[in-house]
Amino acid sequence: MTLSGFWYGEGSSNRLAAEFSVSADGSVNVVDSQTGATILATTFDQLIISDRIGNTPRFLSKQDQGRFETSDNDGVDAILLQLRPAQSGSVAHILESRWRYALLSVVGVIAFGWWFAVHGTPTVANWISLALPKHIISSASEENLLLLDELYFDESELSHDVQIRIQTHFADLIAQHSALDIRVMFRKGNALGANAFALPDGSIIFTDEIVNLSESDDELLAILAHEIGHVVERHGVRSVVQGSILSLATLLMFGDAGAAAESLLTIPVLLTQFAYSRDFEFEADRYSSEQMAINNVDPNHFVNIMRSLSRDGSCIKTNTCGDNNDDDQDNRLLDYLSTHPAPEDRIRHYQEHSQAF
Amino acid sequence: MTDLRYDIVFNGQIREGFSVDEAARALSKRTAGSEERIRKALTKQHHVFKHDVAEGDTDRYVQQLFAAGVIVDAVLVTESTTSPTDLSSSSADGSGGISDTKDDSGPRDQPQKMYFQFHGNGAEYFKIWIVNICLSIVTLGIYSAWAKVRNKRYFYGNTTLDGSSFEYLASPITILKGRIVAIIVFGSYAAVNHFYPIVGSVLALAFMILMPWVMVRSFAFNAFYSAYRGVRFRFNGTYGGALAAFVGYPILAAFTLGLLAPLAYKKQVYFFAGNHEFGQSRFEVDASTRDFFIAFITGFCASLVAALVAWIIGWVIGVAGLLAALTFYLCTFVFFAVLLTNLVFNNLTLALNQFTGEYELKSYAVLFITNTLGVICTLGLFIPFAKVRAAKYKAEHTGFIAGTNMDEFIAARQESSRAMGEELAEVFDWDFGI
Repeated sequence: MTLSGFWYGEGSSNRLAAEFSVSADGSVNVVDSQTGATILATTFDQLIISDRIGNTPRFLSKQDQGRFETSDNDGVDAILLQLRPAQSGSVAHILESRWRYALLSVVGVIAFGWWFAVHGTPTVANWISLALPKHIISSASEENLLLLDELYFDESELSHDVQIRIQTHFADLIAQHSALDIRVMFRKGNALGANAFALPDGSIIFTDEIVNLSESDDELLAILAHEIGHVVERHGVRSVVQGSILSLATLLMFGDAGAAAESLLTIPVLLTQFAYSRDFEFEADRYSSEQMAINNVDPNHFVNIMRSLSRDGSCIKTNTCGDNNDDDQDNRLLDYLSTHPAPEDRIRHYQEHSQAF
Repeated sequence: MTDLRYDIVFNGQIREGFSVDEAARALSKRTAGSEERIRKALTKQHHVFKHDVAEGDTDRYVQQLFAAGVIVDAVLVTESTTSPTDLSSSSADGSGGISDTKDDSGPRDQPQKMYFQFHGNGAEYFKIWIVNICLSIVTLGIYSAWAKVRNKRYFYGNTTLDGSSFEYLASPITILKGRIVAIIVFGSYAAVNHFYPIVGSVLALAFMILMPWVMVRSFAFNAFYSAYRGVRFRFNGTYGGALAAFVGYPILAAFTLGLLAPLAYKKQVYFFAGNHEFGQSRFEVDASTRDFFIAFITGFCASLVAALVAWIIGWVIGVAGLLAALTFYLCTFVFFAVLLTNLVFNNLTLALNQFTGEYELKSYAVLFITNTLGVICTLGLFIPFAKVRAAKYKAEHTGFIAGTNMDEFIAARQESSRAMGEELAEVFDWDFGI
């Protein structure tokens, strides 16, 4: 059996047009095509033969002597089949060269991607969040609060009396969650506007703006219950872990897709993270409505404060703007682009859930 | 012999079949210099294109100008024992060879221009790509190291120059080890960053100091496992050089609000390309800082003008901001890719061999837009086709003027390299390369 190609001797880029021939007993001869002189005489088992990838040239190389390059892939495969069956018919090449396996892979990758985003990542993130030591969570929360204070917050301008009044109103609900170490604080929100935040260690921050926006302390209680819901379900830690898993997995799978493609890949990752965030909001809302029912507070308080928030300008920052005046179609699309569900959806879910009690 | 210096002199001779306008256009594209200025020079009967060129470099200038249709002489200027000689016999005369006074061993008789070629095919690569992703998933990521090698080998093997293909020689096991280290480092860095943002910022500083080391390792690994005609590439950059080029100068550029960005970019190109070797032959970049500034300013201003036009058009239909932003993004990407690639390749040499960069604005813009739209519309399934199209474009628009015999590159002595740097770099998504 013969192959034609190029011979490159060890040590330089010198190229000779050459013929490679191998006999049935495995003796190999490489000869110069022009002069007919023998370049290499060896046995087949001494050669390292590169795997087949698409139709790229194959290299048959002999340690310290040189390498023979040929485009005759089928010829190389035929020789391998006869003299080195173990390396012939490489499984990888068979899988890579048939459309049926490619299409199967497309289906498999899409199905896996869907499962991984919807079930896999949240489940694993949940395990990790449960396994994280408490002191890590609390020091992480402290540092984050420090950072928020530095970047956005100012000291609260609410009077001492107002703060005491609200804390007193919250006391019962907090006492019901004594295991969580819930601590409510007030800050001036500035750019963050009317908002409330829960840190994983149980610190819950109300901005002055949301306190001023509320029409009754029960509305604030509904918000508190929502934020406690985030703490109970460990949403903060879970969303961080989910984000990391998702980015790392995408990078590993599509890592060498090229610069332009890579920047496009961040879009689905971001959309998925938004979807996780919206799920968490619904979960926290559900928790809030349960707590309101347990404590015999009218669930309409939550509805009221949601309405006020969506009328308030700060809703733009918190993605809680209502769809009162806007075209419904637009909002459907925008839903996918926000971390919080549309307020009307939240109110509807909330009311449905409250009626179930 | 070594201290002989030459001027590259033009005596009003244009090659047959070329016009002054054509030559000026070609030269301005190659050098990113002003076409008007070059045309003026070419209309003179006597013009010195370059003063004080070392003997080893004269051929390169003569060949490059010859390729653009301009005939020049290398004229000896330095005082030496021999009287100044007019080397016009060695200059291009439109029909014969240009370096026939040299001894036979080094330069070849006639420089030969060729192009890189890419033989891959989108459909073929699609199968390889998707099957490898699927196998990586099934094996919980372990196969991803094999997948990486196979993907890389597909692109190397399908790229040829002068009929010989490139080889990627890294072993998947080495890459797997590097990948495991990288994931541990990346994972703990991400965790610290999320949970301890303040400690994280200190770590970020540590990473900034570590990064140049990772880059040097990464370049060295990649070069060592890349070969052509059985000869490996090498990378000899130092940590200090990388620190200056990839941390020092970018910081300087940031402090000057980006004004010095072209300088930083130049330093990076010089560091990356200038420290590469093919066997024992060095790559060398020789483009002036001025050229980099011109390319950046041209790219930026052209994009700004395009965005302004888009804004005016968009204002009529009521989508001004969006249209202007998209145009600006697209134009900067295309202009910078085309201008800078051409600038670097047109000034890149390997011994007496000259590269040429021949990207064109229009065709590159078409490629970029269609690839981007393709990837978006197919939710990523077009990625393998886009990669093949990009590789084909890159190969076919990169020329190589062989000034030496292609058979005479000598391999360097063997040394090994580690995968760790390379894989760290990959996980952190640093994408370099020209």
